[in-house]
Amino acid sequence: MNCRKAKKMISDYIDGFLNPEERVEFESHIRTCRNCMKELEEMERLKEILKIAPRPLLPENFHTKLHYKLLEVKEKESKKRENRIFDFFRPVSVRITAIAALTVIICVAIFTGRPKEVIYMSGINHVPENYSTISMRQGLPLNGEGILKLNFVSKKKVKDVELIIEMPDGIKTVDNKKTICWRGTLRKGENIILLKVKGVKPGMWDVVTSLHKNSVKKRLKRKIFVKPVRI
Amino acid sequence: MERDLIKKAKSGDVEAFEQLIRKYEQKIYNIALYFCRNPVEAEDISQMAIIKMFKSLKNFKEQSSLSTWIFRIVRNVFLDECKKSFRRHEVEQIENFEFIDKKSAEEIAGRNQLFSWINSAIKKLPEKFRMVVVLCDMEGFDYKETAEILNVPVGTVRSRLNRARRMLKEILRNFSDNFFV
Repeated sequence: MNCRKAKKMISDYIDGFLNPEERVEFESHIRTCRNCMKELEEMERLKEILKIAPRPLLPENFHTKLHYKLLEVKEKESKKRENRIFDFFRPVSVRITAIAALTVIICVAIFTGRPKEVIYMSGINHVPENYSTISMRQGLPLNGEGILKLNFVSKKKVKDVELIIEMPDGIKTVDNKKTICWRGTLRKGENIILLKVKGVKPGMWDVVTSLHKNSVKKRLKRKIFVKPVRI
Repeated sequence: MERDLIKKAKSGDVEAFEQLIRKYEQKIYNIALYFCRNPVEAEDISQMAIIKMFKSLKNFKEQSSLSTWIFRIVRNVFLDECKKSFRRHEVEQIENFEFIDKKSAEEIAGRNQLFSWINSAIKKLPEKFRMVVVLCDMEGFDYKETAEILNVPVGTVRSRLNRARRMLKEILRNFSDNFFV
């Protein structure tokens, strides 16, 4: 066996894919050829290093993001199925009535029920004395802190609600979180969420809040302006 | 156990599907990262592939192993998506490697250098060679599984792997003469 042929066989040899005859032939060449022996040792070392090379960690929130994408897909798929069934025999007038009824329900949900539930998040655990929240008009100064207030009106008490608040690039919570997850019960009436945030990049940013209950998802955006600091 | 999860997931049970897919997620992401060479796109593409699995699980006939079926989907999604991103992110680096085990600072520095060379070398390989190295040598698929995932004969996997390893060795030798010492 010459070196060229032996070198081609190294990979199969270390993976155990040579037949017995090839193996004997290869091993007898290796014993007499220092170059090929060196090649073999290097290939074995390479294989070992590749096996133990550290793997990248899954990105933060990989599972949370995936979970909601899957729920969305499930919802879409089931809607598709429902539509296929209902579209077949549902008259237009029924659809209009349903939309009207839904609108009434939403309005009732918004204008009824008044007890307030305050949920404290990142950097805040009580309502401060000089309590004022970030307003649309005033915004948040760059590197300054403020209290972000988010309101949800619920028609009834809802258990096991999952709430995810995603901070944009320009805003962070005071404890430097980009995403805040909360799981709990929404009270009937107004639910207030308070969290302390800081402006890190000037510009108009969207704080995205999504509420999840089983496969139902509600997404809300709140615009916040981070004002550049004047020199 | 896996059968039950497959059955539930086929009927649209998200939690069952997540449980089923959990042990493959890390591998899917690793492969994506080596092919896209960009962590953000790797995450998007991994999730796209997993969602595609969720949607098409009802077509899984259980004739091949779940793992092979999963990685065949992964491969198809990656091929479609990564080709687009290759052009945009030729020079992006894989930066989010973290070492979990605690070693001395010197040892860590040495290991980091070693693995950083390995990463750079793998990224320099042409796609078809990179695929076999990542699947066989890093993720532990055997030749047959790799052949099924890549939809090529086993002989092709063997020859590509041989070639890929030799190419890798050459690249690594260029990084450091002492690499294999």
